[in-house]
This record gives sequence, structure tokens and C-alpha cells, in this order.
Amino acid sequence: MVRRVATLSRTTSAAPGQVGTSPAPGGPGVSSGRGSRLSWRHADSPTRLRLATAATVVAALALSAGGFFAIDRRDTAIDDAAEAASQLIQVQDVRVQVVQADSLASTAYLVGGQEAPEARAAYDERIAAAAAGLLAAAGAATTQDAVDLRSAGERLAVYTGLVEQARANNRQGFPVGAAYQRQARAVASELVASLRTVEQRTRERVDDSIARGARASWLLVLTGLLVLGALLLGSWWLAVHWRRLVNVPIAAAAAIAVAVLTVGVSMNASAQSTANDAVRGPLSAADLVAQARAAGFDARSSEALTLINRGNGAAYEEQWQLSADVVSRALNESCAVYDVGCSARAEADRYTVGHGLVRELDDAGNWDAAVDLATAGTLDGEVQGVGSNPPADFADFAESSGADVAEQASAAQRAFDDADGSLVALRLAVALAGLAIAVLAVAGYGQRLREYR
Amino acid sequence: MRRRLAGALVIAMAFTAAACSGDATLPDEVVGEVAEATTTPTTAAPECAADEDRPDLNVRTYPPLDVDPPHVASTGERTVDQIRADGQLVVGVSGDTLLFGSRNPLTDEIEGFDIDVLKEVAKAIFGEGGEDKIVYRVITYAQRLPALEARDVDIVAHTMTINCRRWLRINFSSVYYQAGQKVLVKTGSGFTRVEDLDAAKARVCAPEGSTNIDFIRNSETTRDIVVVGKADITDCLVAMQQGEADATTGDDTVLAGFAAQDPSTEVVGDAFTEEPYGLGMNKNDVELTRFVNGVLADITASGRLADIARTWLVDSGALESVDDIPPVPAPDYSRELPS
Repeated sequence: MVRRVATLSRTTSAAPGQVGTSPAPGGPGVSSGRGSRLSWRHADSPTRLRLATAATVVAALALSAGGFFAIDRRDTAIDDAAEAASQLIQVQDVRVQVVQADSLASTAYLVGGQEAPEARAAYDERIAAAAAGLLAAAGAATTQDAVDLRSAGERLAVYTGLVEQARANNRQGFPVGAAYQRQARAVASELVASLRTVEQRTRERVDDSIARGARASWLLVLTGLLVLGALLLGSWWLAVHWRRLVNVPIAAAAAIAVAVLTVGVSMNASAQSTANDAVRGPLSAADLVAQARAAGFDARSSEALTLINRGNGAAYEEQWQLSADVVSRALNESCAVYDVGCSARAEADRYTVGHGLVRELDDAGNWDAAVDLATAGTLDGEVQGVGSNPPADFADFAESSGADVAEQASAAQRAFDDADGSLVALRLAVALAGLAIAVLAVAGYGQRLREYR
Repeated sequence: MRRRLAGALVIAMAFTAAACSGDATLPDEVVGEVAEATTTPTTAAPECAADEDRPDLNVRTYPPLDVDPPHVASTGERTVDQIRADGQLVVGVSGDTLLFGSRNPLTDEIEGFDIDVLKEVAKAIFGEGGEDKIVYRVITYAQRLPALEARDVDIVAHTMTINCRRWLRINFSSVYYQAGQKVLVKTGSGFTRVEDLDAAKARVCAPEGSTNIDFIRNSETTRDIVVVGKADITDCLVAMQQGEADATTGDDTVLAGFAAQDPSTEVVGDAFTEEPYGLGMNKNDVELTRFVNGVLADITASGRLADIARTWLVDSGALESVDDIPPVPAPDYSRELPS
């Protein structure tokens, strides 16, 4: 670089003697086939000034377009991340509605014909919410997700049909109802599995969009440095060759280029870091607590199934353990890392203690007491206190985890909106700055060019 | 000049660093784990020699208990006295076989033929009110033998057919009900025997791993039948209701319960196998087995067993009259006591 600058300085100092002897003042395309370095060497000063103007204008326009494109790309990437994040939260909500409905249906089966009207209404509400959520999610989904969400919707219809059959049979005292309930549970598990696939793909979409946004900066940096380099080189050349200390328009253009680079890159980086923070912070926390929530309802449903299979719920107890493990892992992480879901964790722990008591009673052959404790929170007719009242402890967990998810999800959405907002104006400002640099470069070199007329 | 260029390079590096700071990613999906249950090593199922596996030999059991001289417990045996001292009789039953063992969702009680027989045993052990000392465990077909072997339950009453292979692992009481394999079809389907189903190449459902499915898979008379296998026999009724199967084959006792749950089905034809039901006990519990045989002899003599059969099979409408209840063969107590 330094060597090349020295060559330039030698050639430029020899320039005045060559005035008028040069071949026709051609543009940058004039060449003897040995490249632009030769054309520059053989060119006279006005030609060189025109070449310098053209090169700077091209670089400035590149900054204008490249900067606009880079910021726009980041803006789009952050938009995509925000959209995927909201999709993730929506699909998780559908999953929670489904497992919650299933836990209500299983518990209702357990109490036979005496299903409380409010439990029935809650079940209907969950199913309606799940159906509406699936419809909404399918509208905003990618093609592959839309296929999975549609099949989840079909399974939801099959599921509700089976639950109705189970109910009708159970109400008449027909044990075939239990087979329908088992089948319904199997369909619900398939449904939940397909939603989890969509969730995992959506998580990857969030990550990809964030990474894409991070990569988008290079074009702004590259074109910015190109312009700045051209301007610095140009102003040094003008200073040495024409003995002017400062060419005001070129210096102003360089100042704008520095400003674009500084402000543009730092705002761009800050938008990215706001988006990163949204993902690392509230969105991760919401994701973890939502997973804990879905697993919690699944555990509650398994608890009912251990009792439906009176005294022999080993298979469902294993499912309970698996779900409880997900609850505790997810909430441990969200509480330790994000300080979110800590009270839900304490409530889940209390519910676990109560569940242990339910299992103890059932395993000891005290099935009626186990059912009473699991469904009404009573033992020998007495309402149980904290630590052994599974329905009350579980309701607390459900409520606070729901509030946590809602709060974190909206915090994530706000952060994405913040990240996004500044970029729209920045995009325009960078484009205009590029044009301004081009105009100033023409003006700056034009001052010297006029001396040759 | 050099300094200025160096400065530009530093700025460039700083910008690039700002642009490339680590991308945020969401945490991986949380996956739960449970400690794997310790499984007992499975040994090859013992086999019966062909000449031992005969219906008349299979139903032989130990003679009813002679209370005098008093029984001396052998190692690993759970005696009637121990059960009495514990104050509870743990039994393995079906939870969804209507008429034989199922939970009544209106009362939450488990009820049926098998349950009533168990109540008689409990009364004999604990005296009057002994039926309240029963602890019910709902178990599946596949769990009947393992539950006894693991001593999770004292007695199994679960529509269980006495056969030679099972005798190698557990003890059986004398026969308390003589069931047989039949078919359940849709009312008005025109099928009256298993041969009709074969001729029509009908889809017939049976639980996987059952003797019932083995029969329709292997018998010459059923070779054109399309077999529909399900995990549980109750799933077969669901399969028929959902149009996935035209018929179900199983013990007439279970099928009678299905017909009671779905009036658009009926049990047709004669039994094409013999399924003598017995209560199951742990292989070591010889005294308990003999005690139970004594109870069965008593309730047969007193007519109580016939009453139970009438309550669950005739009064429920599953059979038309007491004459339709298959006669229970006289007990054969000729099985040699273990030394």
C-alpha cells in the first residue's frame, strides 16, 4: 500500500510536464491493455481528476446502495426473527391448550358421571382456543409448518371425537370408555409431537434469522471503508499535488463517510444486540417456562391416568416422572439464568410432594383417598394445606407459569420492535449520505478541474 | 500517512468486530429423563411336554386344605395366617371386563363375577366383613403371571384360563367357570358361526399375544379370516364400533360384556375352544391354593357360586337363562403336592 502510494506520488509530480502531450483525455476505460495503472500513469491531470471523481462517485453510490441493502437485510432478518418468535409462542400456547384439555378430560373421566360443569366448560374453552390458535398459526407458517399444523388440526378433531365417545360410554358405566380415553390420549400425544416438531423448526428459524442479521453488516462496512479510503487518498493527492491544505468538499465528504460508518455500524450493531438480547433474555425465558407449563399439564394428565388404571398406573407414572423432569429442568434453568419462573418452580415442587402422597395412597390400596386428594385436595374429608393439596398447588403453578410466559413473550416482542424501529430511518439516512458524498466529491474535484479550463 | 492508514485499519477492524459479535440462539428443547427401572432378567419360558399338555391334566389342582395337622410354611411361602395378620388381601383383577371385573364409574367400585368370588375367599380368611380387607390392583392380561411372581398380589382373578404352561410358573385353583372362545358380530350381519366369517373373508379382531389370536391365525377353519390385532381386547370393541373390524373373537365371558355395552352386537355360535377359569396364586403358596380350593368347594356346595353366575350372567341379560350357563366340571384334586 505504502509502496503504491509512493509510485503515485512520483508519477503525479511528473504530471505537469506531460500536459498536452497525453493521448485524447479518455475515461477510465482508456487503456493499452495493461490495466488502469498504466492509464493513470500516462494520463494528464484533468483526466486523472476525472478518473478520481468517477471512482469516488462509484464508491459513494456503492455505499448508498450497499448500505441501504445491508441495513434493509438486517431489518428483514430481525423482522423474521420477531415473527418466528411470535410463532413459537403461539404454537407453544396451542400445545399448552391441548395438554390442558387432555388433563381436564382425563380427570373428568376419573370422576365419571359427576363431571363438574365448570370443568366441562374449561375443557371446551381449551379446545376452542387450541383450534383457533392452530388456525392462526397455520396462517403465518412456512409451507412445511403449515402441513404439520393442518394435520394437528385434523388430529384435534379426531381427539375431541374420541373424548366424547369415552365420556358417553363412561356415563353409562361401560368400561369400553377407558379404551376410547386411551386412544384419545394416544392421538393427543401424536398431536403434541407434531407441534413440538413445529416448535423446534421455529426455534431454528429464530436462530437463523438472528445469524443472517449479524452477517448483513459486512456490505455497509466494506462500502463505507472503500469510500473513506478513496476520499482520504484523494484529499492527500490533492494536498500534495495542488499544494492545498484542505479541499473542503472532499473533507466534508470524508467526515460524512466517517459518520456513516460510525453511526451506521454502531446503530446496526445495537439493533442486532437488542435482538440478540431479546432472544437470549425474555424469549429464551418464555420458551423454557412454556415448555415447563406444557410438561406440567401433561404430568397432571398422567396422574389422572395412573388412577384410572387403579393401583396399576406404572406406565403412566413413568410418563409423570418424565414430564416432571422436564418441568424441573426447564424451570431450574429459567430461574437460575433469567430469574423467571422461580415461584412457578416452588409451586411445581409443592405439587410434586402432593403427587407423591397420591401415589403412596394408591399404592397402599387406598384408591378412594388417592382420588379425593388428587381431584379435590382433601384427605379424609379435610382440605389439605400447602404441600399436599395437588389440585390447588397445580392451579398455582398453572397460573404463575402462564403469567410468566405472557410477560416474557411481550418483553421479547417489545425488544424486537425496538431493534427494528431505528433501522428504517437509518436505511434512508445512509442512502442519502452516499448520494451526498458523491455530490461533494464531484464538487471537490471540480474545484481543481476548473483550473485546467 | 502511515499512522493515518493504520488508524483506518483499526477502525475497520473495530467495525468488523462489532458486526460479528456472537449470535444469540435459543436454548435447546428441554428433554426429560427418568432413571431406568431395574428389569429382572428374563429366562426362557418353560415349555410343557406334549403329553402333559392335555385339558384333563391341566385342571388338576391340589386337594383342599386339611386344617389338621396344622400347615407348616415352607421357605418363600406366604401363608393364610400371614395374610390374616397383615389385615389385607391384595388381588390382581381386570378393570375393564364388564360382568367379570370392571370399575363401575357411578359407584367407583370394582365389580363382577371374579370380584364376587374373591370376596368369598376374603370372607373365609378374615371372617364376616372380610371383603372390605381386599386391596384391588387393576392389572392387564400380560401382567397376570408377573404380578404373582413378583408378589405384587396374593391372588389373581382375571378371566384366566388354566393351562399347562402357566402351571409351570404359578398355582391354579380348581375351575370356577367354564368359558370358551366365541365370536361377537354386528347384529343382523348374518354371521352365525366362525365358519361364516371365514367364508366371507371377514376382518376379525383379537388381542395380540392371546390364545384367541393364535387360534384364528393357526386353525384350518379360519385361514381366510383377515386378522386385526389389537393391544387389548377392549380395543377390539372400539375397532368394531369404528368400522375397522367386522367381528371380534375372545372368551364368551368377555364378549358377553361387550354385547352388554353395545346393543348393536351379539355373541353367536358355539364355543370352539375350552377355557376353564381358575384363580392364580404364587407357585410357593401351596397352602393358600389349597385354602382357596376349600372355599370354592364350599361355595359350590352351598350354591353361592351358582348365585354369583346367575347374578352376573343371567340377571345382567348376557345369557337368557341359567340353563345357558356352562356347567363347571367337578374338581380334580389329583395334582401331587410338592415335596
